[in-house]
Amino acid sequence: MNNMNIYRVKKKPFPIGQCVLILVMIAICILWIIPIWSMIETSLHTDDAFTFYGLDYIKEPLTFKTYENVLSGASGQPVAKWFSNSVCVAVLSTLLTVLIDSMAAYGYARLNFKGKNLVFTLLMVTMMIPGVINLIPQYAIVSQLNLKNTIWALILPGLSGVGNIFLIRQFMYSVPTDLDNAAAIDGASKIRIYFQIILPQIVPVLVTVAMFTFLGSWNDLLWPSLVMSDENLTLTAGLEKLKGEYDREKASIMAAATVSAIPVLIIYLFSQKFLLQGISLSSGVKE
Amino acid sequence: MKKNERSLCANSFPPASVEMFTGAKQHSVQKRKHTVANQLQSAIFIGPHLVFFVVFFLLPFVVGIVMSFFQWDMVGTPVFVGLDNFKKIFTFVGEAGDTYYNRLFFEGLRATLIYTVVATPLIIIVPMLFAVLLNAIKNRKLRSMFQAVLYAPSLLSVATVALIFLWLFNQDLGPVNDFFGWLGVNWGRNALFENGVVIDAVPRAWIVIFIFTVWSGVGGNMIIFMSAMSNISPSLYEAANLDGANAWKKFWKITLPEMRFQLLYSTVMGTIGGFNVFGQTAMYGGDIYNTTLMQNIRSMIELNIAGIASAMALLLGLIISIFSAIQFKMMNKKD
Repeated sequence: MNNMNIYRVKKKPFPIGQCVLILVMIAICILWIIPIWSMIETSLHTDDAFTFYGLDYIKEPLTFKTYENVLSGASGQPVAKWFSNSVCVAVLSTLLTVLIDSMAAYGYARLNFKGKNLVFTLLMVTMMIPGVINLIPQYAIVSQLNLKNTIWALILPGLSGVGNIFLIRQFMYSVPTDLDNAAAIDGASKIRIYFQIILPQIVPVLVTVAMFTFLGSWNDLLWPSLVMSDENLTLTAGLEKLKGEYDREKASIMAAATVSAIPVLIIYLFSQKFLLQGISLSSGVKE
Repeated sequence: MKKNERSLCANSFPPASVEMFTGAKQHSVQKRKHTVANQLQSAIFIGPHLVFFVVFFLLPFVVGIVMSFFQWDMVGTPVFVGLDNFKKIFTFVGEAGDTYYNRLFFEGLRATLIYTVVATPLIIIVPMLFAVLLNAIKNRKLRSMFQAVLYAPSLLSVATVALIFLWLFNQDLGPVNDFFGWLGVNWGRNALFENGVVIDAVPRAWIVIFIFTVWSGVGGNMIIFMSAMSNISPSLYEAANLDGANAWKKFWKITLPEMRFQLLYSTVMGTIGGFNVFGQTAMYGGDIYNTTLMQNIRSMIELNIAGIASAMALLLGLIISIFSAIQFKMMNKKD
């Protein structure tokens, strides 16, 4: 961490280079904030403000009316329903993924069973398969299992992922085995060891996995649009249905977009550290 | 891996207890190795995931390949048609019939390639620039603040981002047009978007798609590059300083080569993402010139044309694999 400033110039009385650099970055950051700011600002107007070409909508006082309209479904689309679907699916996906994947990672990292290496190698190899090949059969299987149009169609296929297991398993190797060995000598079952000794020690990687799973589920567009009917969509997929009404309902659309962005941005505010760590972790930088 | 575990034990315990622990462990492992009870216990842990893996990953993969040789409407019995699906994709007959699939595939592939070829370098080069600039900032608080801001859009879904930019570049009252109007530039009906629907503005639609791809896509790679740069040994730069190398040379001769694994990762991931592009163009309505292959595959699924759609998916999968393999080869050669 000490060598972050690789282009550091030797100490000068007035760091003019740093000032210019910071100003440039501030300018870039303003550019980066404008779209989000504009989305929120627009959503605080009413649709009527954008009806007339050239209307001076800036003079209109800001209001939450558009949100009331959008969430009550007055604008014609069940945005509130989509939102609650999104929350259900994302939360369930996250919990199940963390549980199932960490259990599997424990199995591959700490347990001894026949064919362990073979199965694990198979899992790793399949990570290279392009997902697009699986898409149509997944759809067919979900239809065959009569899961279409239920939230399970959105949750269960996601549990087949392999990357998280790899990540958690790697992390487990950095957890000392003393405690579980001691517990094993005391006669604790593997399940107890996993829940009481392993889980508390791998919380950081679990938080990372949980966040990426939540984001992935929340932001998925293609899959929900395939397996869910319009009124049961998730919010992200629902946004696609909204775009057709752009000419009339600019503020409503921006309100729906804001509703879809807010949970994600709130999570980001509270767990930035884990998220940024996780990105480096999954790209293998730390190894 | 067992070596690893043992060395960890050795680090945290005095020698006597290490023997005790490793001895105890080996004993318990040997005693229980591959007993039925042990296998069952392991099944409890890896079983749930394996079930989902087989049902929703392994099975679909096999079915996906097999299905591309069948004609199937997702309801009735699949009919084996051999290579017919691929023939339909590759034959251009004229205006009617099989041409349809030929167009769906190749025009979809063209749009996909346009996106991949432009977007992949963009979301490597721009994050690299940002990472260099950010790493040059001495004030840590400012640096992490900038980093947080630049990463934030990466969290939003493609749908959200696309809606925001449809609004920003909207012809009527859109802030970008407003801004240019304020500057005295009146694009009139040449604005990038007309009520959010692209009609004939194909190149212009691409411009906006690339703008928001950069806006929402730089974050991840920027973080990866930044932490890669901070992991480069400072002694390399010190040696270069002694040789009188300038910042530009240091970047090309030290920074980039030292980051080649992260670069490979970002390039492969970016290319795969590019070939799978869907939302970016799907959010912009149905113009044939920017409808990507994934969009066409989705419409075919919705029309229950499973066989040919599978064949297209398989072809796309093959293209992705070939590109990834080439990239691995090229990067490894530089080693």
